[in-house]
Amino acid sequence: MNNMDKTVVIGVGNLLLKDDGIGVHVINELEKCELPPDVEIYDGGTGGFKLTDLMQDAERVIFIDAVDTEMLPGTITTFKSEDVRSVYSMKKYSLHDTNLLEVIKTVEILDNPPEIIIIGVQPETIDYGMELSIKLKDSMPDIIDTVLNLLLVTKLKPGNKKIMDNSMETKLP
Amino acid sequence: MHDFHVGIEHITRVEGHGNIVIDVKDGKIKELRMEIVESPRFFEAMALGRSYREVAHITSRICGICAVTHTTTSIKAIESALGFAPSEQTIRLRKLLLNAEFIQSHILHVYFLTAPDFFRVGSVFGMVKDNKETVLRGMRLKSLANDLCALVGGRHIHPITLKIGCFSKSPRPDDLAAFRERIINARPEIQETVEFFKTLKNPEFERETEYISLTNPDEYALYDGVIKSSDDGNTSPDDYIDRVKEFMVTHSTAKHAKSGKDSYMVGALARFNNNHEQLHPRAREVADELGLKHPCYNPYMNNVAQVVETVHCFEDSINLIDELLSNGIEEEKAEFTPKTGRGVGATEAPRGTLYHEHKIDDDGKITYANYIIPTGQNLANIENDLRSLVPGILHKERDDIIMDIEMLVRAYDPCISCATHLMKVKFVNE
Repeated sequence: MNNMDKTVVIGVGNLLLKDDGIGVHVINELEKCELPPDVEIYDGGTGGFKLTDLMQDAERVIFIDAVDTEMLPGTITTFKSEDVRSVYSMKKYSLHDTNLLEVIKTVEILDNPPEIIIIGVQPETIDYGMELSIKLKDSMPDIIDTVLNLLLVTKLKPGNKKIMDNSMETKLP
Repeated sequence: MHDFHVGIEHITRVEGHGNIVIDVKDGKIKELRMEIVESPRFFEAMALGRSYREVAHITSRICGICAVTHTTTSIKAIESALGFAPSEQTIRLRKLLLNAEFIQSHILHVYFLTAPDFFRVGSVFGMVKDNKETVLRGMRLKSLANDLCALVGGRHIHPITLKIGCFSKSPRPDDLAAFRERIINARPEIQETVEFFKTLKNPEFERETEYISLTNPDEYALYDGVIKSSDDGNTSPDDYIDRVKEFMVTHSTAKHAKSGKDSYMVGALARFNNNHEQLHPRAREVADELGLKHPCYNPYMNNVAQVVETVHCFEDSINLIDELLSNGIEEEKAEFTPKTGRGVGATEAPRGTLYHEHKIDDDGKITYANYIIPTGQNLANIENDLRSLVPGILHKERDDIIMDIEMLVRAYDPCISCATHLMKVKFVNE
């Protein structure tokens, strides 16, 4: 049974691989913000299929992840799984063959799955290290704005299942 | 088939990427290699200069699937360097958390990665049409284990309550008692899991190798023990470097390992072969029901050994909760004064023995770090298995040969490099 008002925000990625950890860095920033009620935020790290357990009773889920869209570093693309034609895991750094879209597909097996939105951030540097690149640090306020705007829509439309139509949005740095 | 060439890119459904190249000419293997397309691990370098208090949180990020094991092993290495022995309560809670990680990892592997091979459907999503209830059962059992992880570890992913010396927060007795009931109530689904895997027949293939795992006179060793070789007796974890001989090969950026023979196996089957008598009685019954007999030299049966260990970990968790409740649970504190020292932690991860070695100085800074992950230890053994397997299956159709090869690699449950999953996407409108 879904909680009609619950929105879950999950930042994913590896904190040890610079910009790959952007989702987790965003969660750390969101912890300092005042968020609407019925919003839960999670550091999803590299949880793979474990992430499904954070999503099962939510009405809406917003993921923040590093996504390579071949655009300028810091570009923010907000999309849904149905917007994606194909997805590749990068050979060089892949731990999980399980990528985020497969996790989302798994949750969609369930009856009455949540609405799922992905905020993808184009990384500049994926390499060993715990610091974000300057470009992604600069993008942080815009990423936070993107999340908060989505949560604001949730607040303005209580009980509405969908908070985003199917058109993608891209925000250049 | 006398001539056969296959280059399998990205063994799908393993956690990490490996390419396999096999070249057979006139029925003889000319070339066989498992290429690891991963950068070397630099995680050890990232630990250098950090405080001994930070390093476990860093290593918990090496792998999201084995985060409990990495964190536990790191803490054990630091405690060894400090000369600190944790309380019985802390050890029991660590064992409970480790059981949760084993269950979720094994369930994920056998239901989501292994089972689709038997239905020839390519992925777990292909099983949904005809076997949706089976997939949902796997998800429910995985969720149960993850909830246990959250109860003891503070959250579902990357635990936060594990600390050097103790837990930052102990679970409430009421919550543990309630969880005990959830496990009891899950027994029918655990048995349905056993019944399901009875219907799946693994390929027949045998190659005896050296089996290495921890062993402990008091229990089926997962949390702690000495290093046992099926060939060559026991070794203290402090001397792991005498047992685990790492070496570089030209076709892989990951280190391979050998011990007495030219390769060895770690993981569920190695643990079963070394310690099967210490499994919970119900797990031993399940091994019999699933046709897993000791000793077993069929690496495909690692999948079955994982189902057996899943049953063991569920039953052991009930016992651990009973012990914790009967002894009473207290909030604990531990204080340390750093001093120069060296410590080794050895723990069984779902995929095999994990080693962390740390040296610290008087300021508590890490001056040396060495991490040896299970899959690196298995790589040479996978290649040797393939060399033995392939000549005997060349009479099969090409697709069947490839399936046998892929299933063998997947049976090891490899996690080639603990890194990440960056998605490269193409959108519909592009």
